[in-house]
Amino acid sequence: MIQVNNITKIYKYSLKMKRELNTKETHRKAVEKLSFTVKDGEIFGLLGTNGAGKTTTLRCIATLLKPTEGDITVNGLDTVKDAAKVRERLSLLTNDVRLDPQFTPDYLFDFFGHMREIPDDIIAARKEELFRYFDVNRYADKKIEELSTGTRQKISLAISMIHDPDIVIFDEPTTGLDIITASSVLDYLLDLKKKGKTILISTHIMSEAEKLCDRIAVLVDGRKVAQGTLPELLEETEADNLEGAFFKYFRDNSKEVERWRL
Amino acid sequence: MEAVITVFKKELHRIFKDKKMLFSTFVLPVFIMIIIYGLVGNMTEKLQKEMSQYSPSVYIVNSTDKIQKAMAGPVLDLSRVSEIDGMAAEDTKELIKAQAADLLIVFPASFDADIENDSGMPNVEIYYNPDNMNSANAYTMYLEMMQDQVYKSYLADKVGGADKLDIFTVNMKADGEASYELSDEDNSGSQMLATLVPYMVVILLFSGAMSMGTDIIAGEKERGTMASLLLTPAKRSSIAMGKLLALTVITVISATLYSVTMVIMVPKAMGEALTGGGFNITVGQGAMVFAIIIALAFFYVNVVTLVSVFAKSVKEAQSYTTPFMILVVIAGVLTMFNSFSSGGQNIFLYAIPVYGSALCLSDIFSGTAAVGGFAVNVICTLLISVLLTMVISRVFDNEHVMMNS
Ligand SMILES: Nc1ncnc2c1ncn2[C@@H]1O[C@H](COP(=O)(O)OP(=O)(O)OP(=O)(O)O)[C@@H](O)[C@H]1O
Ligand SMILES: [Mg+2]
Repeated sequence: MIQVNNITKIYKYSLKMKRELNTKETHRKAVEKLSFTVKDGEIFGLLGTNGAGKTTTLRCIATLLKPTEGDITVNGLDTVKDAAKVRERLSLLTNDVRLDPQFTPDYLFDFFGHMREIPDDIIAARKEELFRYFDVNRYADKKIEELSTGTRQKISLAISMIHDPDIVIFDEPTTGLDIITASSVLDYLLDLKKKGKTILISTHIMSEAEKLCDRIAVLVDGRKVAQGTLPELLEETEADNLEGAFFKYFRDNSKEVERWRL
Repeated sequence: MEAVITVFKKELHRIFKDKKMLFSTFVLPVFIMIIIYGLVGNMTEKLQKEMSQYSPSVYIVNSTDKIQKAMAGPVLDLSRVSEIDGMAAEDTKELIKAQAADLLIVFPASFDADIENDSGMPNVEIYYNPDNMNSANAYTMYLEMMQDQVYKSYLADKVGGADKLDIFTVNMKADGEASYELSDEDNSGSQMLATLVPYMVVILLFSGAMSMGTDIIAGEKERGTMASLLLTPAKRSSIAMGKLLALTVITVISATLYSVTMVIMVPKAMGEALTGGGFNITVGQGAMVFAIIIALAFFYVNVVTLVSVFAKSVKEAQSYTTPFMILVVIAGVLTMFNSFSSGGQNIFLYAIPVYGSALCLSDIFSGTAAVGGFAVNVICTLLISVLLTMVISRVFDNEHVMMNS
């Protein structure tokens, strides 16, 4: 279970960023007073436009960032005070796969196994199982730089699941993937749900949210403006589909409505 | 602890399994050094040979039989010596200026008579062109001949026989075998190496740490692989430590390789005469050199890492480390001047990182090393490095720094 309690995240701009963005502001509030709970065994979706604060929220939960205010617990453990324990039970996946190009999948799998202090025999068994599931055995000894994006994504998934985490967080699972690879990734998430994992994803793709999520939270400008199951959201907005519902929420809440002439 | 070893092994694996990396870090620099020093050595040798075979064109005004007899002998090649009239002296000077002639020697017309009658002190004039290497060389040789061979010949004439000139000897025992050299064999350092090696080691170590360090730290951020490391339960300090140790090992190996190449190649290149024909150090001194190199490498690696952590890309990290490279070069140059004052430095100077290490190395190679300065240097360098390591571990915990790419 993930509990996000009233978190606010403020980024401090570095001098260089200020110059690059050509702004006089010194801070940027990426997430504001955000609360939600992801229940065990469900797939929960954060829906929002570019810059809504999705990645920031997910990184806070995954202990990479510390919330400026508020707190987060994962299976009852605080993400700041018990960061290492949280990391043991959780996995953060992203669509832009970043694996050391000079190493082989085989080496990297073992490397992350050892980083997590998993015994060798268990690493070997997990590797066998996951490489078979993702059908990447034949690439095990090739360098990452020689592999296609789709294959890299599969290998990254396999490595991320090495410690069999209870909680899987996926930042935009299908962005940048072709439809075949994308649908296999979505199938995998549904598979994980069947195994009882708790899953939190972020997305701006409506069909993905419709197909996958048990419950959805809509983020606009770092704030949560709605939350519920798909039928609940449609009822509230009197829309036919999620896209229609999202437009209504965005129009009612975004400071940028003027700019977009909605 | 397992995380430290795992990260350590991975970084070594990256270097040693990658043929390109291996080549550019270890093989290529050594190769370049051998070629450069080999070329320099070859050219110096060639130049020296040419110089010794050259016979200078010399013009003499007011030469007499007596002068010719005094100058004759096996010392100089006189094949291109010609006698000229005093009237032609000015033209010859122009020739020397134009580098078409090498030397003009003008004897006073009354040279022989003046000496014989003790009437005044005749002055011989030798004109040469310092811009022309052959002329300058001829000048040195003829000057010496005048002051030695010719002078003695005239003197012998005055006192009545060459044997009258021998009145005492220096360092000439009858048995001829006695050695007057009292240097301790083990300590006989060479000034050239004492000057060059510390300077090069200090700089080569840094450039090694710089190229590897920026890649291992900032490169990891640039490639986006740092986040996946930070997502493991391993302590941030363990990740930092693993990287620091791996970097230190690689830097030490490359620096040792470069130093050994240099110690072998420099005497070859510079000629035995200049370097005292190589040098020999004891096992103890070798161990001291190695300890200094390790401590210095660890220090460099910490500096480069600390600076690189703040960069988003390898390029940025390199631009941040460049000012440190300049400092290192300055420290190296300063010790070059210092190596001529033999030992006896203020002990506190040895506590200064980099500069103290270069001082120590210089002491060892010139055979004036003292345990005190060595100990102060190694301990201080390591202490400062450990402090830096602690700072780095803290920075690895800082999300502003680690997640800024
Ligand atoms: N390191 C940072 N420093 C300063 N501002 C940042 C930083 N990272 C993100 N931001 C800003 O915070 C806001 C939220 O960013 P975030 O990446 O969380 O949005 P997102 O919903 O994931 O968007 P996207 O769909 O583009 O991935 C954005 O306005 C972004 O510019
Ligand atoms: Mg994002």
